[in-house]
Amino acid sequence: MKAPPQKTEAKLNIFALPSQTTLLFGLIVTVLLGTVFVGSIGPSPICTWPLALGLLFLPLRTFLARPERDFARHNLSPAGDDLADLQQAIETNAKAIGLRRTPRLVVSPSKRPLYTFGTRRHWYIAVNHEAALRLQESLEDPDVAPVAQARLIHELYHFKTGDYWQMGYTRELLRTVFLFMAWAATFFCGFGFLLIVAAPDFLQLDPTKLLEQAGNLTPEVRQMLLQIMPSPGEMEAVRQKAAVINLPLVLNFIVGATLPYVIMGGILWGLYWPKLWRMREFYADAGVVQAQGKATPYLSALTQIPLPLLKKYPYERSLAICQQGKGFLDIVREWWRRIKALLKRHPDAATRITCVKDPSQVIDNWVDAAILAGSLTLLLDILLVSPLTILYAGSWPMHFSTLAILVVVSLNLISPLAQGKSVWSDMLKIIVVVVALRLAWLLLTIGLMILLLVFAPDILSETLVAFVASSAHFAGYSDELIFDNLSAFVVKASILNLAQVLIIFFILMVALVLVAFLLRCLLTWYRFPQVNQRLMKVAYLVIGWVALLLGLTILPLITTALLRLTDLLNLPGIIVGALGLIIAATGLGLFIYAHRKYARRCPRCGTAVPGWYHVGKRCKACNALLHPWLIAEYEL
Amino acid sequence: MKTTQFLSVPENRAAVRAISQQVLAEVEPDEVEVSASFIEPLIDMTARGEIVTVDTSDEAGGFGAADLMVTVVVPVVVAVLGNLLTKLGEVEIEELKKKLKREKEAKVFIKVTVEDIEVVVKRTKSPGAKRKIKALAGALNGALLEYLASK
Repeated sequence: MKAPPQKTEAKLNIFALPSQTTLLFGLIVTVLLGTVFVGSIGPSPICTWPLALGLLFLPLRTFLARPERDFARHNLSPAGDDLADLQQAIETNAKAIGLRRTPRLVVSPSKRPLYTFGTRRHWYIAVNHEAALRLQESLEDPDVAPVAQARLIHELYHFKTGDYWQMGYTRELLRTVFLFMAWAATFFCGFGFLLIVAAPDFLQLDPTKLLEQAGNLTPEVRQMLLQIMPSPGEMEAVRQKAAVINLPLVLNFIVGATLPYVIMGGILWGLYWPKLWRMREFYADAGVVQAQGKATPYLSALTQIPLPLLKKYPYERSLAICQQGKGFLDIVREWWRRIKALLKRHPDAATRITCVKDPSQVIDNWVDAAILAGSLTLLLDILLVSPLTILYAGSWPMHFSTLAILVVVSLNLISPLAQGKSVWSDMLKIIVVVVALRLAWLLLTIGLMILLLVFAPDILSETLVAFVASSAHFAGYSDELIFDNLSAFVVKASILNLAQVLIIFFILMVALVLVAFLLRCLLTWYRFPQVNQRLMKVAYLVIGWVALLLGLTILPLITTALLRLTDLLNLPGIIVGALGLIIAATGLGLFIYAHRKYARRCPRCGTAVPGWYHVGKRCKACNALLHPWLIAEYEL
Repeated sequence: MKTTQFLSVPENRAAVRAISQQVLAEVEPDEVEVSASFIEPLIDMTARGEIVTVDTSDEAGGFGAADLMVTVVVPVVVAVLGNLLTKLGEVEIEELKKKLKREKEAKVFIKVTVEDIEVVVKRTKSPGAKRKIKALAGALNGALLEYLASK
């Protein structure tokens, strides 16, 4: 359950801010596709780009074919003339909320609820035929029409926010990754075990002896078979090649390359997929109340309390109830309820109503943002050490996850900054959680290594050999599979990895302080032309600019200094770093220029507006509302 | 007297409201804030003999249905208070409170059973309330006793 609404007069227009649905969609795609693409551009034991393209396009193909399959599976058919008025109402409301096309109404004989589906070009609203007739009837009754309209607008907003295609693609991506990697793991492991069992017999096979045993063959057939079968020389060549293949190591590679994707796909499916479902409902709800200009029809649709009764009583914000202190069991129950809520696809009504009354509640608070960014780090850390990507991750271990966290946390900062809240402590807490999770994972690995080093050095050596074999060795980067000095390896690996955690903490803090400061300045650009359409784009540019500076200059410099000190004066590295600096300097220059021109001046009277922006801020001279596009106007 | 007739007295409505809030605070504290605006409309609905039915078939994928505890608590409180007033021959809660102070033995009438609540839960089809029937009964007994036996 989210926190109770704050007592703020102005309500935040969440559509003007980065969409949490898009953020979740981006996170899932980054984790699953990003890591495979990283494996494709960097060195990898196998050619990874066909896999990357396959995982990109297979879900797309299934997603595009999904409507036809839905039509067949649920026996859907286009709505007839008896529902012409409902189709007309859909068209009217679609135009009213600014949809670029009208979804088609389709009816289903099954008792499925009103729901939306489609591709980027074909949009459908499906509903049970009887329910459609009831809805049409309600739209004609002035007493309940706004309530029916609220339900309709809610569905239309799924198209408006674009969550229908994000959901559709994510569903297919998760399914494809899970099924494909599970199939690959099963098939190749089965094949590998078959080879382990059958290889000795197969390699000792002598075709001539085999044919001699078959006594009833004619000389012509025997001759023909001898020509088809490999000659003793060819068999010897196969034996020599097979002798150098270590099948258990190959199996280890297969498991290491596929299993993390199966597990991570499962985690994303179990935790992030339901969150995506829940989040899209909050946005559709916000769309309803903004489109209708009042919350009562929506509340009536949700609670089933008749609209006239809701209108009769004024909205009440809070109650003076003295709640008793909670016991241990209550706290356990509460946390259990929260954990169960994580798996639910539909948000509970209380949270939906809270978010309608105070839309800023839709945006993740620092705990949710920390869990999101922290889990992203863990997922990336686990996936990037798979044999497909470890060679890239080994060369640039801090890049991918640091940049991903920077972008996720930065996007989450925009909303509290727009509300005029201080973000410093929340930012610190988020980064501490992220780094702590990473540190915990690392300490677990280091602890295990040290334990093995002390009590079972042979097992440690074999594990490391298997790890190197499945990545660098198979990719042709390492010929030797021996660890001469295990303790030196463990000490060096521990120091380097612990140093990285601290470096990442420091870099993220500095980068996020810079981003937060720039975004806060940006929010004071009241005179910026077409500010309602362009300010958020500039915010994304600012975040991208800082990410570019980190990715091209800061991180390569620190990584090279830490891991390959001799490469520090490498010319390509210097050129890329300088390029990053030039882009950063140009960007900063443009930002300062624009800030001087557009910041802290009232767009109406031109008077100076001191202080930082917060939702609902007005010019003291002319009382003009600043950034009105960040405010949602509707009655509660 | 019809069990909901007592709702025409403003003080009685206030009592229903206060007891409902207290029960909600104990059984579903997360709902206290959002349910504030729904108590009065729900009292009106109950007075008219209407009840909110939770249609969970419209859950995932669709608009969704609100399974709010308040939609069960208010009709239950109305039913219990209505029965209590009828049993003790009173019309106003304040009179009932005075009577309870005078006749201590009358407190035995303040007893809500799981069966009393089940009648309403069955009508609302609320899965949330179904799961919490025992907690509801306990909270309701406590809230009634506290409200009616308080000074």
